[in-house]
Amino acid sequence: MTDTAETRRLFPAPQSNPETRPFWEAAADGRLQIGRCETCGEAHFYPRSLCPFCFGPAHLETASGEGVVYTVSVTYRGAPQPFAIGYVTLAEGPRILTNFVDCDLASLAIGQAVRLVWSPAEGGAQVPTFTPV
Amino acid sequence: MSIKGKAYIAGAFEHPTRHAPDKSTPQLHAECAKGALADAGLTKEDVDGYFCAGDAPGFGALSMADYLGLKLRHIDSTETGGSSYIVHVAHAAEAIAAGRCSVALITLAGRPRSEPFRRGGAAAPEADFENPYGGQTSNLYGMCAARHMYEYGTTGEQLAWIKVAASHHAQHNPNAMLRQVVTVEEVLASPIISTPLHRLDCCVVSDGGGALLVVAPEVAHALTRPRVKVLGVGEAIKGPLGGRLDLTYSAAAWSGPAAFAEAGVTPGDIKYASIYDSFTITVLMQLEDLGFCAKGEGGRFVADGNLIAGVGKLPFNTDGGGLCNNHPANRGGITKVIEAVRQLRGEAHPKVQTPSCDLALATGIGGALGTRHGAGAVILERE
Repeated sequence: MTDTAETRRLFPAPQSNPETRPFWEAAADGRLQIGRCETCGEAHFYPRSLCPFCFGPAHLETASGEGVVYTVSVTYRGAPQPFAIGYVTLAEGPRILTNFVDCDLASLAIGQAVRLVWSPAEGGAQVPTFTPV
Repeated sequence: MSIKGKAYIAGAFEHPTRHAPDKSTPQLHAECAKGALADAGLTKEDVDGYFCAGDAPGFGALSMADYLGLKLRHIDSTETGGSSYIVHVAHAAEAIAAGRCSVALITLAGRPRSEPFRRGGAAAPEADFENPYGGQTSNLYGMCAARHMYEYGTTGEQLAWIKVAASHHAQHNPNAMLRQVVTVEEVLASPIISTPLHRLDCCVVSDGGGALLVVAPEVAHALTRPRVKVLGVGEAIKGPLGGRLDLTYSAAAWSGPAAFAEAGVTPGDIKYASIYDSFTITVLMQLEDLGFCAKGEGGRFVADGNLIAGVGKLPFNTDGGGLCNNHPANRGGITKVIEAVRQLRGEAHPKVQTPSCDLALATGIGGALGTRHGAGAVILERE
């Protein structure tokens, strides 16, 4: 089953809150932010103000945007057009839920190297998605 | 059992803010939790029970527990408005008295001055990071199946055997939605919903419902129906864990062993199992996590009819399960217990009744295996 239909749909607009607003401001600048704990040093995603591992204070840092496909599922039913949802293991460690775009959906494979590409969302925002390297 | 003297309040914290335009509601919950832990001289790792109500953003306790990074063995999201937290103290005392947890965290937080009222409370903390990507039940389980296949070589044929077994049972249930026996080939020939799951890997969508009565021993002994005793229970939740996501196992890896330990039995002792079957992969992963086979061996375990009553070693879901019978309210957990009770009473359909069925297991997985979910396990005995 091959599908090269348009793979970059317009994503719903993020409803940021005071905790996540810096993430979305950086996103508008094309920088993907992950959380980093100032106490234990561990990286996490999605970013929190308190580290989910030790409750230490966390700050945002910019990720490289490089990663590999941890898993992928191509959805053919219940959506206006086929799309690929999956998790990417970022080079920094955390796994992030995303969509894969600009590619032959049927050829996506676990373990494949991918890189960050920003996809447009409603209201002019952009959300992090990934495409094969 | 009385809770008198069985529980204490060791930590308490009131957030100093009265106006928090620069924080999120989950953040306030976290700051309150941290404050109470500091007050008690405890750490986050000590918490094994979590209680929250309708002010907690997201889906029951699942979103907040994952946001906070809690590892839990007791969860309660009883919602009774402003009285919830008093009720939570009572429930926490009961849970502690019963040995269900030793450190119960209760949180409340909100920002009615800073954000418009939302029916159902504030948006889940993960909402902006997950909702854009089109997660739906089928693909959130499809992602688990894909990873399981990658890690362990599990095949679509093996998953199909789970549906085949359920259909063999459903043929005897006049109320089942899908009564026709299907083959592995027919499962694989059904349309792909979200890779690698086919339509026949998915449960039915049905109306309906169910109810249970859990009673005190003296009540049970005064009744004439066969007695089904609760021997052991376990509960757990699991999420993306701050990015340390591992889709190869479910929270049943924690809830199952807890239930077996309390009951003092092993998976090998179980005569009949109701295994929550939203999808075929849900069953396969639980069988591994519950200890019916080693991790990665689920595909081989379910193949060749091993789950079919009268054929295999572990008869499962003899009503046809969610895959063929019903899945009321898109969460058929109660039907799992109901069929286990039928089996223990000897009241299942004669074609699927397990001989001398004196020990049964019923499990549930709620939420989504691919993001955050809760797992429950109950071990029941015919007295």
